[in-house]
Amino acid sequence: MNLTDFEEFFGLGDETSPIMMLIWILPVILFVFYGQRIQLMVASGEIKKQIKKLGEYGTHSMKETTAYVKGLPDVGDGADREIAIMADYFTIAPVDMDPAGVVSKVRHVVRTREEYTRRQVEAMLPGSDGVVVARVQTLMEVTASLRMIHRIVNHMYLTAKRQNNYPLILPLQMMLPFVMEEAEAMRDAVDAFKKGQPVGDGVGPAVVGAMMRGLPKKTASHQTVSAESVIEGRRAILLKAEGPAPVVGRPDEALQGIIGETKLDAIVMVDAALKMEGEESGVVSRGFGAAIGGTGAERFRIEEIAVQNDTPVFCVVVKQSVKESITLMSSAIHGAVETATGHVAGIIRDNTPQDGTVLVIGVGNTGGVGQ
Amino acid sequence: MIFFEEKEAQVIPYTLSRCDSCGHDSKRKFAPDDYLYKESECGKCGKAEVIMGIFGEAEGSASS
Repeated sequence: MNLTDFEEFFGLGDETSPIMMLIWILPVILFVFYGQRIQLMVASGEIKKQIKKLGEYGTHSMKETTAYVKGLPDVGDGADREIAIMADYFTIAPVDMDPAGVVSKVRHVVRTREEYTRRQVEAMLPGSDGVVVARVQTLMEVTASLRMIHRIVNHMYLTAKRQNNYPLILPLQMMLPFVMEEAEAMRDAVDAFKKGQPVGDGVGPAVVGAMMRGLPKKTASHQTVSAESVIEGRRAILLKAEGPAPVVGRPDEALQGIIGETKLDAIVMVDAALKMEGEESGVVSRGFGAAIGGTGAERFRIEEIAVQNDTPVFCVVVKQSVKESITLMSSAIHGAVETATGHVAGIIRDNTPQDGTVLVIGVGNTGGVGQ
Repeated sequence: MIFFEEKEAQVIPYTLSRCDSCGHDSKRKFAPDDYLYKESECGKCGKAEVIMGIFGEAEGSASS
């Protein structure tokens, strides 16, 4: 193509074609004035599909939970109504303008919800054992979370759409893949909790549960058990949530009780940890500090007790993804139980005196993990 | 992801039991009442065997 043809085609030459000028100018005008709306339309299509999926996840979880509850022999009348009420529960975070004391407020709100929901499930299933009650309670939590995620995402989308405001939809577009990852994990978690299978987060209780096998256990705090053993010649107090119900127990309260009676030379916490992109699942790492997730209220209390008593806190974590942490334990994570046990022994051997006492806490959801 | 969505392989739950007395290991599909460290009777020697593992394996990758 010679240069003259090129200039003529794009209307750049001396003999400018008005049609070519229009072909140039119209899209420019269109994008200047309507660019954001076009972007909004394109982004909307994708977001709408994801919102539909989120809605389906919530509905699926609700159906599965209802079917599970109705299949139980002890189900009372009005279960549908109770489930519908619990599925829409929400929690208002305490005011943190004056942060002093906010941790105890968070703990209070979380415990209130937990205890109230448990009592409601117990009333709905009179005569059911603690494992079934905890299972239904967990399923209700998953359902409520999925419905809440759907409502929030839908609200953000509709607000941006109503205002024709593209910048408003940008944060949603950026966050949605992460939200979807969590929501998909929760959707898949329903099956594992319903069947009473251990999830990836249960690796901490699985490690400590293996150490507790055959030992006499006693209640250390609400839904939490302890046992005594000897590891590397040291007295070891073992602590975990009471399985196989899907509960996390109250390790902070148990620690408060234990440290009041016994001088601890170290606390070793075993927990699941989120892996970073590129890391492999089931990799075991040692670290320092309190390894415990949740709202942060329990970690705060454990750290406070450790500081007051000048007790070092070590941790052993098993790396996994968000999805792996709440779905059926993978073979890689199961394989890490033995390695993590070896790390616990290593920490005790290297950091405590021969006649010392250590506390080993298995942190996480103990669903499907006995002791 | 834009063009193709990777289809995830179905995960099958398995239960791994071990008898402390005769050392017999067995792997079978997960049953509803199974949980980790649950004791039952060993199919080989009749003594107590313990569930030492419950985990998922992608269909086709399972080794027995």
